[in-house]
Amino acid sequence: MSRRDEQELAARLARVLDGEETPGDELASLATVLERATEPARFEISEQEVEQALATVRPRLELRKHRRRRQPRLVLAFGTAAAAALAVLVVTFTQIGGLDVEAKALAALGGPGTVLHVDERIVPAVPGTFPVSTRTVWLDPGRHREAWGQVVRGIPIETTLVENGRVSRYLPEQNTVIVGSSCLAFASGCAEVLDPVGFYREALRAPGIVKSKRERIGGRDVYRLTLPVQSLPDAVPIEQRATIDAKTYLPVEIDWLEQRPGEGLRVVTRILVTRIERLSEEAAAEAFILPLSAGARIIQRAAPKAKLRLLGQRRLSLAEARGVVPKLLWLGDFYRGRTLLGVDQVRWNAGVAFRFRYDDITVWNYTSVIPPDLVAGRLAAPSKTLPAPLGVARFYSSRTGNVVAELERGGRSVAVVAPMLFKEDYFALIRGLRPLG
Amino acid sequence: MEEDLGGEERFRREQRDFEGLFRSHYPEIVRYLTARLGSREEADDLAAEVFLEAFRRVPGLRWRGKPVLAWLYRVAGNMAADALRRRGREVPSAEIDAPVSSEDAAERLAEREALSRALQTLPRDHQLVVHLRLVEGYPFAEVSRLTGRSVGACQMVVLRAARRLRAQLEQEGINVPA
Repeated sequence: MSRRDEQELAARLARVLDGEETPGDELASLATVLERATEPARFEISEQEVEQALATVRPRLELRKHRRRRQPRLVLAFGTAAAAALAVLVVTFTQIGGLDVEAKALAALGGPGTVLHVDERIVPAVPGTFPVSTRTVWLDPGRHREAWGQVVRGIPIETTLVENGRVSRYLPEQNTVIVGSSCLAFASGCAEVLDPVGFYREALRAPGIVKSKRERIGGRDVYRLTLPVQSLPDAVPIEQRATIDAKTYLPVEIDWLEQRPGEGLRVVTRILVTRIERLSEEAAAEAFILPLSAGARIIQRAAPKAKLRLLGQRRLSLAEARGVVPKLLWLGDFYRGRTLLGVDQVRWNAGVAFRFRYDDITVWNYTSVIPPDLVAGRLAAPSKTLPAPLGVARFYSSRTGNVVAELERGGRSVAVVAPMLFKEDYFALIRGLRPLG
Repeated sequence: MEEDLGGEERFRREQRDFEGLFRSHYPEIVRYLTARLGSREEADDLAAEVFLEAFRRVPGLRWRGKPVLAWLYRVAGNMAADALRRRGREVPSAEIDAPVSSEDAAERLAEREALSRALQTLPRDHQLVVHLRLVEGYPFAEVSRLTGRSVGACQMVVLRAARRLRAQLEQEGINVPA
């Protein structure tokens, strides 16, 4: 084969890989072999894993920063050096006690090959702000999978399976399963796949970040562990506090705390661990199969491949908005003293979303593209999932710290953001959504 | 998700923002190292070393029309080569999670191991081109920018890699269907 023919063949193979040419046998065979050879490296790494890796690297960065500062000043006063050495000793001995509790707490959860079966009761920090729900969770870190079912007032709301980063969410009420290539395919996804006990286990594995304190509460000896979750420049600081039994070293309560600008640290979600047991892989096998009913509708959602770029936006008349199929959800011309200011069609490189603007409330309708304002924080308190008149509603914190209420309905997502309103008002907002007819 | 920035602007920003650089590129560096080393665990450890090196050296890099990511891949490639030399033995095949319980599965496993071995026999820079196009899904224009080769040369590398992989499989008696 001449070099020119080879170049032509290489360009055609490139077009086949780009999906621009239908291959004949030869090119199809070459494309297949490439696809298969590279398949093992095609796996997702969740944002949670990235944050954990970064948390592991940070102390070494600090050390390097410290070295950088120290290097030019070789002469240190003996007294300073002695004081530093003493400080290191004090810190080391102080941490030994904490590490001991951490190690025992981690050991109580079993090794990475152990499957954990956990029953959680999610209660509001302020009674009455949202209904109590229960979650049954299976955690299998060794095989990179998690599954959980959520029940509110005895009604199953959803079952979710996360396997190697792929998220499948089954909504029994709508007999629909939404499959995302990663948690990034969902606005709330990455907050959603963060099970509190799973996170607690991972936090224990990261060295030196746990503070522990022994206490006696209600006649029971417990340890209180504080695990810093997030302190990113663009996010609300979040902390997880775990209360563990001093005898079994298993968690009995996990609280998520947030610190909003100008406010103190406050509990936003309280999870009571009502049961926790270690299972073998065989005993838990069925937990990792979604319990789909016959005829379940499957909707695929892909995580964005390219960086999101805004292409433009256009104001729509109400008549034009009414013509959109499936029907958009809105709050009407007026909502509790607020007027509809406008409807926009916003275009990004990944797709189109529709926005209804009401003074301090925004309602988004979207499918293939997640408007950036709605993306969940990298590591936020777990989202709350509750039944709503038109589907399943999810409440979570966005990257900028705003509460977002998101409704899944017939494959379309609708989200409401209202920075000036309280969380309690969001339930009313979700109940107020209706089709634009 | 963020708006796309011009090459140099992004380069400057990544020089200043180490954590942003880490979050943007850590997953693909781990995937690349996993492909090179055949072990996710080793890849995680080595990726941390790559980024520690980046923390030290990226702020001092000069803009020469290439993104910081190209530098990260080069350092990761060098570190992987060192690790393989230190290891001084054959690269283990990709880790298989599922137990082999049927003839089909056994065949798939044999094919996967043969492919993994064949991939390791490709020159290092060819492995990188294949990885960038097939695993990360970069268009050839971007692969060209990251590797410093022309688009045509990158396409040629992919063609030759595919032929070599197929020949290797055929040698081992494994049929590759179209």
